[in-house]
Amino acid sequence: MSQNEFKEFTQETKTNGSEKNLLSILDQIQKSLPSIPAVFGQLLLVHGFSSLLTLIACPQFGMRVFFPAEAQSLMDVFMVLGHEACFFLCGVFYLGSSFLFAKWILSSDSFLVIKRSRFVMVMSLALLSLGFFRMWGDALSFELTFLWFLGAYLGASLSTREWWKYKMAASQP
Amino acid sequence: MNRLNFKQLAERLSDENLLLALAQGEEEALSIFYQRHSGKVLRFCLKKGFSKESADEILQIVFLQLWRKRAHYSAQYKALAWLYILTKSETKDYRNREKTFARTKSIPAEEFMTDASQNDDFSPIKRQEELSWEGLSEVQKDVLTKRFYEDKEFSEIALALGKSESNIRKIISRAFQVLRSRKEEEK
Repeated sequence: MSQNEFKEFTQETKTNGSEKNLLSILDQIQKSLPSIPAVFGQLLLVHGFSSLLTLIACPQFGMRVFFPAEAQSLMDVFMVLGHEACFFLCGVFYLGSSFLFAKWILSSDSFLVIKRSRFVMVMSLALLSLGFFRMWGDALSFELTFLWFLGAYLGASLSTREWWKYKMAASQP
Repeated sequence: MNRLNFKQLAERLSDENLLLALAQGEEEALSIFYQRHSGKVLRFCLKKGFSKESADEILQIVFLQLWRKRAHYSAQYKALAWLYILTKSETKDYRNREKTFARTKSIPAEEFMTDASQNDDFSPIKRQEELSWEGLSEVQKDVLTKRFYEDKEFSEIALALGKSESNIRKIISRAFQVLRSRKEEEK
């Protein structure tokens, strides 16, 4: 790097690039992002993988790999707080884990699309999961389903929340 | 924290923090960084002898690269040094592309334009058939038609086809290579 050239480069300018150029850049960025259906497909795959791991911790599905038979299962831990709390925490844990996996596995562009359409993504995934559980298990009451949904949205929101913004805001004088 | 709040925060952020926010996918950070420093990139390009149009094009390429390489930025680098290195590298690449483009452009483009001017009832589609752009893909034919028979700018073609300008240049360059090699085979 030529020091003189760099010094000259950093000097202030009177004029800036046009608004038209900026809009064109933002437009090209927008076009370069993967489509919502494509990202939702990727999210479904990640959710399938994450579900395999998270559901085997639940004895309701006949498996308790992470918890030996004599120990308390994750459900037992949640049930200490009551049946309703168990459903709520199940939602938090189940969807929260999926979105955390998505954050690690998917590309930053794909995860950006997820963050931008968070509400639709979370709701679609939660509804699909509920449908799947309904096929598998017993009938669900409105109250419990609502609590599970609430938990699922909270879990997914916490996993996709942009915590760095709070940290940056806090570090500002 | 919503988008509006972040805009207020971003205006107070240092250049380095703006690039860190950009690394997290915050487009607003790119807009503010552009408002602060796009003039520096333009001035650099003009000083290197590029035209205003080319400087504008390089400016877009540099800021697109800033977005694409956002994950590679680390707080240990000065933001302006990062921008300077990108600008320098992109101006060099642009110059090389221009040279390659000028070399490949000279033979077929002139022939095509001479043919076109000699024909009164010229129409781009008819000319395509007469010139027999055999071996070219549909996209290449489309781009060549738009560029040389409809006299469209690179930016217009890029917008129409949903591609970047550098991509359009590459498509044209590759199409010329195909036409040139076919011409040599015929000889």
